[in-house]
Amino acid sequence: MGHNVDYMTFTNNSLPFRAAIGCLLLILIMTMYHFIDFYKHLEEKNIREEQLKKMVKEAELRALKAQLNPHFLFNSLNSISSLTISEPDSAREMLTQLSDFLRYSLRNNNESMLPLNEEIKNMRRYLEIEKVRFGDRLQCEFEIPLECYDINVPAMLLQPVYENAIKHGLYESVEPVCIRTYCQPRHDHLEISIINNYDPDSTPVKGEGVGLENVRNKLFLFYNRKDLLSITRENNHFEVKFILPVKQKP
Amino acid sequence: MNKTNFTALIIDDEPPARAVVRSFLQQHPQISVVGECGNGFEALKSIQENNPDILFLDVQMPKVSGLELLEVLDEVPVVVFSTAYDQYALKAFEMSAVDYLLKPYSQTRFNQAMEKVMAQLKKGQKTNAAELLKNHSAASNSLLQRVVVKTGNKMHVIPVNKIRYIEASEDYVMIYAENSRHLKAQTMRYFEEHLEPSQFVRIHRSYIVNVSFVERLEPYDKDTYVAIMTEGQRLKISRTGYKKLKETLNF
Repeated sequence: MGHNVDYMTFTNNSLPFRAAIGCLLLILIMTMYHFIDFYKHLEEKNIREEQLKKMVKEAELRALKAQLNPHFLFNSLNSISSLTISEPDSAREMLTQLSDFLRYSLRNNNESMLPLNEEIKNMRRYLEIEKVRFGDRLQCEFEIPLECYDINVPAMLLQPVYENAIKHGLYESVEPVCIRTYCQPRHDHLEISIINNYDPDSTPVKGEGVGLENVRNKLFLFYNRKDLLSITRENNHFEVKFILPVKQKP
Repeated sequence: MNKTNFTALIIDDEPPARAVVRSFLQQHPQISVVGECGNGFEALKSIQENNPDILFLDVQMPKVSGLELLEVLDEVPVVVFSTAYDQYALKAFEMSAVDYLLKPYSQTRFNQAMEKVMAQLKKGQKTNAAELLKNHSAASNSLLQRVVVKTGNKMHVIPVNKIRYIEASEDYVMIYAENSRHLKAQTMRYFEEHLEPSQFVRIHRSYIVNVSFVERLEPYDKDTYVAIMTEGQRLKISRTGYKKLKETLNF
């Protein structure tokens, strides 16, 4: 029995010591857990950043490729070749427009914001070039109030939308296609609507949605929001509507 | 009979592109232009009316491409193709040794093409459209989105999802669309290979059906079946056809 008393005394005496060791162990485990957790998060964050960077790069590359769309480029050059025979002045004019358009696209292929007016001017260039190619088959209307001109928007945001309208509307229709652009300033955002009619009987061409997906990605990168773009298809009209938050100037 | 003067039709949906051809043709007075067309529908009409010796044909056009237009022509004249950039068409041209103009092209290049054309015309040769089209479908290797057919004098574009079924008819196939049927010079095998396999099944030597238009299957005799289509047609199913149908529809 004496043996047992010794053991009990030892147990009682060593209680604080053992409690201390237990606490230490607990603290150690908790710290380790936090370390691992922290590390995991860091890794995830790195991966996410990596992905984001890759996405930006890919978007840039895609945008570049889109601007150098061989169909657009070579057919435009062919139109210029044609005009040099019949209307040399118009040929020079178109050549300048094509150069300005390509230069703008190359220069502004980064993450910058530009006044809406600049973007629209560039899109007008693009549409003017297409108008020379297609004549009366392409019509364009712009309704942009003066107070929208200086509002900053992501550079090259609108181009894929016009390109879509041309590719899926104009290229696939025998009838004329009209592309209308409306802008509306609201108190803390800017509304931009781009509408084109299309031939409901034409069979969809490949690549539908890629351009608009890029626009969505771009909006997400700039505004961190996914609800800024809406698409409606009604009565043979395709509408792409932007709601862009306007950063108040200090 | 040795013809020295020839007629040509210019087909391109871009007016400036047509103007280039017209202007380059000024150096070839033996060729007179009988018309200009901005799409395949106009072109078919003009070809039927004017029967030109030469077609200047752009590949990319709305609704019906230049190559699809050739599919419905009873007789293909000598064709000078032009394109800005269409990798599948280019591949097909090269495979078939057919000459083509890459836009933009020069008067010199145009004249070279015309030399070949004149040689062909003098020998009475035509462009071998059948071989070209075969090579094109091999090169693009993609599933069909639409089928271009001609009924009477009119061209129709049928989106593939409107095709109910296709029936073999000697050297032709009969395509049954929603409210119409169209004969086309094509093989069953071609359609079997170029239609979406989850939607179209070859159920018999003579039939390819769009499964969306199959209402039910009924036993025909001891171990064969017939497919009853939504509009009541009864199409025989072979034993292998039944197996394929079973795999596709998962029953």
